[in-house]
Amino acid sequence: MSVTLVTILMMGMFLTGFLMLWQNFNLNAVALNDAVRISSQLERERIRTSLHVGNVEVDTENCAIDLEIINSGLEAIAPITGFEVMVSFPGGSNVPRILEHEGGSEGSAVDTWSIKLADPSEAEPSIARPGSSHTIRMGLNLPEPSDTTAFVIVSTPNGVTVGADVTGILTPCSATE
Amino acid sequence: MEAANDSVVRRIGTDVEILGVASDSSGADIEAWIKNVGTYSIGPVNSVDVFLITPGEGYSALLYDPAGLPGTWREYPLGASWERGEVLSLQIVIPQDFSVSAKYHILRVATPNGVVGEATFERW
Repeated sequence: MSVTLVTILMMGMFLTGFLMLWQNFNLNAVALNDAVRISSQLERERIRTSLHVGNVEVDTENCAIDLEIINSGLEAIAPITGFEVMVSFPGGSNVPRILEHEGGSEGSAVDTWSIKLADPSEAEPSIARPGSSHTIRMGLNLPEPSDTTAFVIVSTPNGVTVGADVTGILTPCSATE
Repeated sequence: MEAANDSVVRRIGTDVEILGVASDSSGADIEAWIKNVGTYSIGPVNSVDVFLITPGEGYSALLYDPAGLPGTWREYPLGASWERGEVLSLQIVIPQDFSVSAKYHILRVATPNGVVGEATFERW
């Protein structure tokens, strides 16, 4: 009788240990699987994301640059406010900088960027659908003279970048508030 | 085993993208913008490893230094975090033995858990 009880007890302990080990293994496998799935999804989105630069215009009076970007990828990019905009001055004296997004206006405050809407009644102003174009307006403060060219980098929220040379800048200048 | 698994999960979910590098050949500073495109925050920022490589010429491991001495890097603004989706601005002061005559260089950035981002750049 006692031998049977001991055997049952031992088997119970063995089974409990096995189940705990199995559960731990499963939890680890699920976490790993989730990480791989999310990482693959982000990478797939990046592969399907692409930007091109269209028209580039310099507003010398307001020390601003208007840069048209075209979503040439297969993914909608949203929100547009998640873009990163950086400006540098190859061979120039003005310091390279990352611009802040200026929400809710089409102004050109110093060292900010905003979306310049072609049509104020645009249905989805904060989404760049594949094939659509948006104009980014950058307001700059360029105190150092003699810089006439800039290099603008625009990055999507998932890190896909496009760059454009901008010529015809007149410095020194400063964007109006 | 669980710690090792967590470490692997965090590595898979960590990713950085060097958005741009601005480097004027007349100056000693290099500016770089690096985006956290993974699913975790990265830190501490001062534990990030930064390397400057000039193919065929040399290789420099830069030290973190908020004072900005030659051969060091710092984040801007100082004390900036590097959360998911954030861009880290790096200010690099080139080392004294940096090959200034070479035009093309590589910036390599490694997160504290060993995920590497790399970009080739040109000095203007």
